[in-house]
Amino acid sequence: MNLAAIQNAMADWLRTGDPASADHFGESARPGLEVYLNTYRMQLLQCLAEIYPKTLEWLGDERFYAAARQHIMAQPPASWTLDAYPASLAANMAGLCPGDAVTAELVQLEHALDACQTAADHAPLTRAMFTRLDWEHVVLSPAPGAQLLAHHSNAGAIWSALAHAQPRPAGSTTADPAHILVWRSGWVPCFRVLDSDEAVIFERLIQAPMSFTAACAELEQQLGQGAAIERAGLLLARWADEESVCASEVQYPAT
Amino acid sequence: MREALPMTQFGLGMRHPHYSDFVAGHVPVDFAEVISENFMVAGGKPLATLRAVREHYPVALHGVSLSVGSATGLDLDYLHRLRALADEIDPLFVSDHLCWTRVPGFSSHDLLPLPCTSEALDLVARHVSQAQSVLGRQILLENPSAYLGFAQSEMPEWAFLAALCERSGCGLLLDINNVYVSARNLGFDPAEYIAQFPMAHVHQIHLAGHSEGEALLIDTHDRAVCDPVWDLFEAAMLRAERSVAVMIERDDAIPALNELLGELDVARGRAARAQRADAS
Repeated sequence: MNLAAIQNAMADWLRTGDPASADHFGESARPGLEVYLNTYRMQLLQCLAEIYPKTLEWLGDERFYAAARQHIMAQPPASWTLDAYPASLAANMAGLCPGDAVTAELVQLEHALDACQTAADHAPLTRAMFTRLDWEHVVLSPAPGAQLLAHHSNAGAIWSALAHAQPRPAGSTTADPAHILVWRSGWVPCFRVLDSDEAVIFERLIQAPMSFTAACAELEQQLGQGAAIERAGLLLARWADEESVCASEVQYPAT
Repeated sequence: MREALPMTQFGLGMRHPHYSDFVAGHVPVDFAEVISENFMVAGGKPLATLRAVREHYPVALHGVSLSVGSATGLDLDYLHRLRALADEIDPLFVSDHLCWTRVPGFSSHDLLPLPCTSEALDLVARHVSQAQSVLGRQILLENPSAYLGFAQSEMPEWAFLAALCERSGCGLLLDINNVYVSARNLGFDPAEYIAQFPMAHVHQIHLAGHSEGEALLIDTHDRAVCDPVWDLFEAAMLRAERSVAVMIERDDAIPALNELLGELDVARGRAARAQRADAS
């Protein structure tokens, strides 16, 4: 066997545990191949358990590891970084636990909380900036790693109960989704349920930076002019206090 | 008697439970080594921690995902990210392993063995040269621990590594525990391996512990360095031909920092004994 054939056979062994792949290496190699297979699988299981501790606690060891093992067989890692692997479980959980929207959304929330921890750093909007900024020229963007999740279940409440070692609520779902914003404040991952008018703004912010005047126009469309001005002030204060938004001034070239 | 060697440096692999000690700059070591991939991220606390540590210590970047032995080539995205990190950190060394980790569409995240063949030597030498070109610096390659051997191998691993250094200009990271684990698993003499190892190219030495599996030794890094590995280390230091950076690796069952520093003191003592023996 040349190098490529050796590597393809070994990759097949790790992906499948198929004895036919091991046969290429001879019987004497079998103990070593078992070590590599065990290391490969244990590392992935450990990675998933570390990133999804609340989902593990919610499902219990037996159900969590059964789902994780099934996932590892169905979807082996492809990226150079192990950090990329947990995302695939979050995407696949609905299929692994059919009909269990609570678990699928809990794992999605945990993934968003983990992913924002290594997002690019940006200075957040602060109250001290309120009087310094020329708000006609302010562009808003979401905080590092921000994601907006549309949840039909009470996964957020379950996560909070598990995080604070409180009695966990029973899983439940609703027809209308709640919009949950996940972001990083300093080094701490955070989430909260958005009000409906905020959710409309964050839906746009997540896609692309948005001028403050466009955000005000959005509020005005929903609330009317007078209420929109008051609401914009309240939201800015909230976003500054929780560091969920970044703001910068953009100077347009003179025409 | 040889001319006295420049001073040996002693360091530790920096792991999560001890981050705050390194950030505070109170750990009595000459350098810290980190796993490169843990810091090849856009931002957040890991990078801030590394930047803070770098203010106090030289940092060696030790990777696990270069996959220098992949038959299908290197991942240039990976290399460019590593270059960005190295440019910022200005590391003491950039190192990875003589191994492969992936084929197209699949990454094992494990250090898988290569046969020591001329085909593999040609390929790895080409990849090392390419990696050094992208990174703009020399890399060190570490001898891996092995759990199986290949009937196809045409030369011992130390000869493969010596030829690789000559052809590519890379340096070596000698992992003494890996020598011991591989020797026990594959049935060669670890003392002979150390006696033949191309020490002129060794810039760094790793020391670690292993565990006994059912049929094989496993490179678990979860316990103290054992006596036979200390003896091999001393034998290697007797043959050192340049200043080397020696460190303890612990990746599981990570003890209190003082315990690791105590092990590092043993390394200092063994290295000093080797130097005295060499001078006499």
